[in-house]
Amino acid sequence: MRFGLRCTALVILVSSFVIWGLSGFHWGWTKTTVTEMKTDDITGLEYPVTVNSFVFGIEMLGAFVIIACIFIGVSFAFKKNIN
Amino acid sequence: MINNNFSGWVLCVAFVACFVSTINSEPIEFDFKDPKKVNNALFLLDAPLESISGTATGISGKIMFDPEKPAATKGKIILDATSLHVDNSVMKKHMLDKGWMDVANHPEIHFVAESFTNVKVNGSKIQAKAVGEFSMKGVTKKVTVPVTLTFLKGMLAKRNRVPGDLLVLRSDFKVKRSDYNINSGNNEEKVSDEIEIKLRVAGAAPTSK
Repeated sequence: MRFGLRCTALVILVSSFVIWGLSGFHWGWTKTTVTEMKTDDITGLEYPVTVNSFVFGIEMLGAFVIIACIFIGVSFAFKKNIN
Repeated sequence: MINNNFSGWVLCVAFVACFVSTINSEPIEFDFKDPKKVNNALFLLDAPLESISGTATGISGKIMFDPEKPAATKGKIILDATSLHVDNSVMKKHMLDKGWMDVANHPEIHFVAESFTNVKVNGSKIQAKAVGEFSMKGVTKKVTVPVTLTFLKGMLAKRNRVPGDLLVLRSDFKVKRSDYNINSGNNEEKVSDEIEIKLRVAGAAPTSK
């Protein structure tokens, strides 16, 4: 159990950092859309174009790190398997 | 002799036509409703982790503009508050909710331009200070904002394939959320009191009207 919890914590920790990295190490809040600015050729006005896209934010990373820490903490409640 | 008389008449008629067209020049009505959603307002608020930036594309309204008398420009620009958007869905829900913008009860933000002062004309570009009333969340305040107008004569044909003119309006100004009862006095350590607004809109005036 102890080993299983620690392995789970490691998987959560590594996968959250991998997903965060794939989202471009975004230091801001999580985004469910991404807004890009384009320019209208005739008027020269810049206008927003919003597309649905998920960007993993720092609060999500923090939440997963806390969950991993809880798993590690709980693992100490179980005795070492001597056998 | 006949030729001289004829050319004299032509000159006279041309002069009268020019004079009449000058004194009869009327303001052109520009419609800012834009189905292409190019017309937009950007808003920016400072916050500790990252500044909150959002967009809104629900623009409409009409402006009367006379290229000969830009100081007489008047009109109203309306923003549909339900079109306010930020990229974080939770933040967007909070922003539109009762505590902040309360768009269910206050679905319209608008600016009514009453007069233009400090008008500086540079070719097709006009810089001025627009004096008018800015209304947001049911609070109306008198404000003076810098505006830049660009009159694009005959350019509507290139954009919408309809003969006519375009009027581009740009304005950058700041308002305080405490002035407009937007969660005033609360969460100022998380979201700044000052809201920076960048308005980028173009109005169309088809000549076939």
